[in-house]
Amino acid sequence: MIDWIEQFSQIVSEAVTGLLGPIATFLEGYVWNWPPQAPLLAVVLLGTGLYATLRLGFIQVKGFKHAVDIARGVYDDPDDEGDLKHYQALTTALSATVGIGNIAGVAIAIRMGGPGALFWMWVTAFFGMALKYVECTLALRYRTVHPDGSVSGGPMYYIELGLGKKWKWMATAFAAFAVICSFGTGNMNQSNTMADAVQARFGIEPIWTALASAIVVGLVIIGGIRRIGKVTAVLAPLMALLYVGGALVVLAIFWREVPGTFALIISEAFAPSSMVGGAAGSFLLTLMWGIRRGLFSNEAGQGSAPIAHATAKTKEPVREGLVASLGPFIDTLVICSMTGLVILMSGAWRDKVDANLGLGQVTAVLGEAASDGNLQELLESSNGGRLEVVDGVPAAGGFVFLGATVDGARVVGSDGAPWAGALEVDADGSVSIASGPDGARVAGKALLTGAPLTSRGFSKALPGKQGDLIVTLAVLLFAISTGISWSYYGDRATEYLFGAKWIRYYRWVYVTFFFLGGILPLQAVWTFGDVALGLMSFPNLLAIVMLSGAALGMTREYYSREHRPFKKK
Amino acid sequence: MANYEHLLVTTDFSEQALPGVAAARDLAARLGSRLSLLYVVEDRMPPFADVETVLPEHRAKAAESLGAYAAEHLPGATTLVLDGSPHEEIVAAATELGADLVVMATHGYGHVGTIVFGSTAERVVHHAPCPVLLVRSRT
Repeated sequence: MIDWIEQFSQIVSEAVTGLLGPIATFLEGYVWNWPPQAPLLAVVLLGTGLYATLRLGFIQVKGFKHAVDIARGVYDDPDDEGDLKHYQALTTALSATVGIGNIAGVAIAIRMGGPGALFWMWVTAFFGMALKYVECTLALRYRTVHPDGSVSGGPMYYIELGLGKKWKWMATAFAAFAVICSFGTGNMNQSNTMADAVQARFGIEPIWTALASAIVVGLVIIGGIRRIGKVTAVLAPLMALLYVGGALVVLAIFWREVPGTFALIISEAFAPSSMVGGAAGSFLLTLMWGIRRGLFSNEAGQGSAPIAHATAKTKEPVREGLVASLGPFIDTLVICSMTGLVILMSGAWRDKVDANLGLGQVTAVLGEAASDGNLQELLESSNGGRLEVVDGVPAAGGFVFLGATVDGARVVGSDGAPWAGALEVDADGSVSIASGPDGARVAGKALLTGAPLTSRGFSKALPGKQGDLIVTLAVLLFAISTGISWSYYGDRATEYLFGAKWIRYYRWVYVTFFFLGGILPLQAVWTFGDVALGLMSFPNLLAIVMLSGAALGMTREYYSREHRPFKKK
Repeated sequence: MANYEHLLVTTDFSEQALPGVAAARDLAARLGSRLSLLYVVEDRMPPFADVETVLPEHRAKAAESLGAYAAEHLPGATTLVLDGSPHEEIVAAATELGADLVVMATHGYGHVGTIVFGSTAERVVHHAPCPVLLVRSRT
């Protein structure tokens, strides 16, 4: 049975990476990096956020206190239509939002874009609060109430009902991208990182974590065992509190470095210097990685959260919009900042630790001894060639991982013993075996990224060397709760596209992907998720701009009235 | 010919369900049959909703809507609201009520999903304790 599962996952893994990998990489170039000087998605996302912020008169600042009161339930009327109280709608949307992006995503942003990327994550969150306000207000305004009182809403409904039938194609496109995206960001990315983190911390093979978590998600969404869902709904916010608490302890320990770290984040945001790894002094890279991981984390403008907020029990769309605007604040300005500060203050982002890397993960430079200092020059002048390896020691040159050299690099066999033979290095630095036994790997000290980088930050900074346990537990819970919540988004999009009957098949596919995500290689999975996320943002952002007048009208009307806390008659 | 004394009619409130309801109305008028009108509540709730409070609300609201629907399209019918998987609930209701005939509309178009997985109507035909009259929807 286990052999069978392993063989099956191997085949699927190869098929998916072989097929999906190139497609995802190709699309990534258009969705995220085109045109290269000012990538369209970044311009549109920030532009729409700025537009919404200005048009609504800084609603995210002006309405903040009122939003907190609404979320606390001060204005809840139990007789209103809808399925969830304000705070339940917020926690559902947040449990979908607070996930791997808050832990691994921030680490990737800092690794690839430098410390300044965190600043751009904040910027997306600030403008994102206005975007969330608009999209969720619209979701409430244009939701469909079914004969049984249940409701359906989200971008596909406000596009169709708000913009009219001739825009139905755009609503359909949004729903289709949402279904695709639900297999990526909310699903495979989550199980992938989780399986990885559990392996790193407890040494459990990814296949078991993937299987166990897929069963849990399946029990809730297919088995209808909502009790588990409820447990997750309670545990995930508690975990978020514990996580933020742990980070605050780190901030308290390193309080002297707080001002310096903020200064670093801000100066690096506008003029990134050539630091360790990743973006070597490119403003655009820093900006893009910040926006990309910011959007991945808080989903503002993506159109996912409105699907959850649309189910809120209220007659006042503006109220739910205000509650929703708290989402990016909690998700990015609070939780992501904590992760980023821990990574930076602990110094973990500069550390190189023992690593054992596959040849596919590294690139090589030939010539004189490579170091982080001369790496850029060597990479630019590299023409490839042959690298002789004697007794594990490469003749001349070095290996690069995440934009920095692997220190003390040795080539080893799959058993860890020194490897001998020759490696073929292409002009782009990719490495393959020219002669010698199969299974060569590179061992040495290398930079970390993703959840392991965050884990190192916590374990380094917190006393007792067990600080990384917080990260592993958070990854586990956030991933499962995000997986459960995101299935709902896919559900709604599936119903919109094909009708309710398809939902159950969708759920089976969803759970299968959750399992597969745990065993597929990381890069293909993240690229795929990013592409889908970018694609669903376009129709939604367009709809936000076109319907912003309606949102403005509702906002003015709402604020022209007096609002008193709800009292039972 | 069998005596169709008690007809179980199903609806999902959609346009496509109406031909089934109309056929049942005509048939009952001719045969003098009793009518029961069934609606199965679909689970649209978000995963973290309070099922214990929300589901009864939905059932009550659905019963209200179904009452109005019956008054308009199927006067004299007893209404019944269940929740769960539609085909299972329809079969269970037919068994429980001792219905002599189930009358329902079939959406009829060749959806890929319907071809691969079968329709609700098809499943009801296979499992119902009594004959099933399927009326093809025109839309």
